[in-house]
Amino acid sequence: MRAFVTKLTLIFVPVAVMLAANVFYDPVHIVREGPERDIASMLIAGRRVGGIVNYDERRLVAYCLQQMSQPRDVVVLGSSRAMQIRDDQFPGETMFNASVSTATVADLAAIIGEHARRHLLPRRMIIELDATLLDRSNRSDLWRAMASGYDEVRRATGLPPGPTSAPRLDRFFVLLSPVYFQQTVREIRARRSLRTFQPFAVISDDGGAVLPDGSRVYPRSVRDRTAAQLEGMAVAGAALMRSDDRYTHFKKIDDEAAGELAALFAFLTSRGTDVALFLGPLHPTMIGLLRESGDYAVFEDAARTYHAIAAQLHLPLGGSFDGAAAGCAGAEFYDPDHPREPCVNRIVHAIQ
Amino acid sequence: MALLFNSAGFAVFFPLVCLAYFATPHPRRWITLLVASCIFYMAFIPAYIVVLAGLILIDYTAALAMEPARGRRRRAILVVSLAANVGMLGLFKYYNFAVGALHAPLPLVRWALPLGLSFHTFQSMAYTIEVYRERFPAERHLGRYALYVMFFPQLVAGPIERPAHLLPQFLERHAFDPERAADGLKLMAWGFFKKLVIADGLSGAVDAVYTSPATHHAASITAATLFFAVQIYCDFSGYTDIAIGAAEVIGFRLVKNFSRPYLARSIREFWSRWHISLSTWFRDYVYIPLGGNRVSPPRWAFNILLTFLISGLWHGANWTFIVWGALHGLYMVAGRATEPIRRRWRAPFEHSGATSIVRAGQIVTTFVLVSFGWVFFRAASLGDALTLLGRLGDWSINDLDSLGLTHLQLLVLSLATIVLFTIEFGAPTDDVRLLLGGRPVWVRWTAYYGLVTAVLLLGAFNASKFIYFQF
Repeated sequence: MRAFVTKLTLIFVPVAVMLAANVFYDPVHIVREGPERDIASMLIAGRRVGGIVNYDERRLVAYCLQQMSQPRDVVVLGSSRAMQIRDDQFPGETMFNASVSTATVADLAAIIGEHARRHLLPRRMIIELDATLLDRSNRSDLWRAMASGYDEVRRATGLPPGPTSAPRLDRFFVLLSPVYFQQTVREIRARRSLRTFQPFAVISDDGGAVLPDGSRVYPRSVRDRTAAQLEGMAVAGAALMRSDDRYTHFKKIDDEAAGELAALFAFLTSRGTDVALFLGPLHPTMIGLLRESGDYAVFEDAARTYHAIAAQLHLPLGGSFDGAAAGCAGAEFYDPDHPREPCVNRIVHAIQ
Repeated sequence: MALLFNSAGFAVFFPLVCLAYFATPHPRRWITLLVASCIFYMAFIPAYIVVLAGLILIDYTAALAMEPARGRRRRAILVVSLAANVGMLGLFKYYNFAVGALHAPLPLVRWALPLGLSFHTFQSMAYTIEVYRERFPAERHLGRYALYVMFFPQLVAGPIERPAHLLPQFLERHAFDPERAADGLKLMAWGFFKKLVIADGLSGAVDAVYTSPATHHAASITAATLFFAVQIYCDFSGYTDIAIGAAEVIGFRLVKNFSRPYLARSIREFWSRWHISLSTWFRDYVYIPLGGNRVSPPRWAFNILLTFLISGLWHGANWTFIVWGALHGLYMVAGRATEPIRRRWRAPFEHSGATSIVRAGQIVTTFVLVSFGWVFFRAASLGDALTLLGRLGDWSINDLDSLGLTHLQLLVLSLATIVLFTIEFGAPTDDVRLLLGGRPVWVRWTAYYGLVTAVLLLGAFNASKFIYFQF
């Protein structure tokens, strides 16, 4: 029996190593605060920043706004589909891209509220809309990085309290997760290839970067994907959306979320900010396959809902969830979910 | 929260069950296992426990009633029991397919398939048939019979046990045996490697091709089909290793389900190595009652084709599975018909001592035939399968990029697959653990650490379902 216990203990040595690596490197900053404040300082000082593998995008936006002295003329808001919009698309104007990945309605509310709270509301806000904003189960409490902003906009619009969860002690269990370990290993490899342990100003965007306007540049490995690779990824993406529990339950539009978005847009216009909306395009092959299997219906419902909101508030709305309908070829994407700059720039120009 | 073997929930559930099992006095251990099995089953769709309990009661009662009965009455009771099981399968698994195939003006049902229905109904039918044939006495203890049907390691995807093998084990007094527990854990680790590293690693590439057949060319279709051959083996045999290993930790022996199937030299041999518990079930309860091979050649061909058609249908309510079953039936018939010719072809090689060439040729031919069959097995529809086969001649474009694997992923998966087959084919028996038996401590522990590290570093921990769970 003693030998068995010894063997069992020994076999857990790799697990202990995994735990130690997870705690030491802590790629998603569960144990320690991340580098967001430093990145924000570098961005506000006008530097492109690389060498950041994981950071909290909401905290970064919050720190940028904290350090911003003047409102920008234009603010772009949305999900990762809008992150590639740069200030060169708005000549003669100042611009900040405040988009965050997997944005929820609460995220948009918190970012808008943070702008309002700090008197940084722009003259014009371009907002990218995902269908999943109207998915009732698409909730997270990441918006809490800008809780004061959320409260600001909530007071003005009567939005419900943001989605919350119990004290996140469970997140420490993530340190025991092999998935987190794999993230740790990726981080270690990335840091080694970048030869740094801190975010740093870059000249070359080969490894990906955040630009001073808040927009993102994908690493060269992503930018260099071939059309055939993208086609395969789009097919796999459609299969994932048809089978993965995270997507399959999204069959119905959440009217409450639609109402909250309309209230947010009305809030912006009431504060003198012009709002222009666009639908974030997805890879045409993936959309084609979703259409064939009947899984595109909910996207069409979402598009109709957004058009109704735009018509009601007299806001311009462009683009389409269907990349083909939005005029974007398959090669004009980085992956099934993310359009390249030419695609998204055309849509943005059309609504200005 | 579903308690899939590859979920975090099972990592908590299983040690707790082991502790509870050995902490319970022997006479009450069946209760511990039954409660654990109920929790395991109900973690998927709780309401379906009613379906399972109903079948258990029917078969338990039928066996008891059958034992003293004779003649027609005995047969009638068996028919009732079999009809309940087949009826339940028909209702949940084949009703919609039959309505669609027959264009019947009946409403479709939208019920999910109860977990492991095809497996536990076959296990239950094996029990009532064995009692009917007086090869096994009816079990008096309802709890132990329920446990025979619901024993959690093999509840959802087998191996399909026979009553004579599993039921007596519930009466055995299992003291905790550290050696056996360590062996069980080793087998589970091997199963996790197969499932998490290889099967789940390959699934994305296979899905990319099989969900969109018309956009792919021969290179990607061939690669995806070969990947699927590896994926389904690693997925199902990985599951089986985890099931057998988990049972072994608490002292139970489950039947062998795989015996290095891709080393088979004929389709007939393949079926004695692949999903053995199902193949022997069909042999004993379908093929032999039809007359087996002790009949005229045409009748034998009919028997074999019918058995494989039913086997295909067992795998799923789709024409693809029926064609896959029929294809294997035809392979068997063609194999027997061409045996004299093939023996003549082989003779010169064998006389010249080149038996290894002959053997390699047979293994490769069998693998190609089996892989061809997997196209129908994996395709979503017969139309998709035919599209894929139709495009197999188009080698004009190298579209391997469309599989969505990076060069590094491809390299890692190839290496993992080579390691797997080298170990499995190189082991002295079907039990890979014997390969390490008697080796120096440092060799064994290097292997253990390598395995655990590979799973932690390369495993896909998204708790994807095992392919055979759908059956």
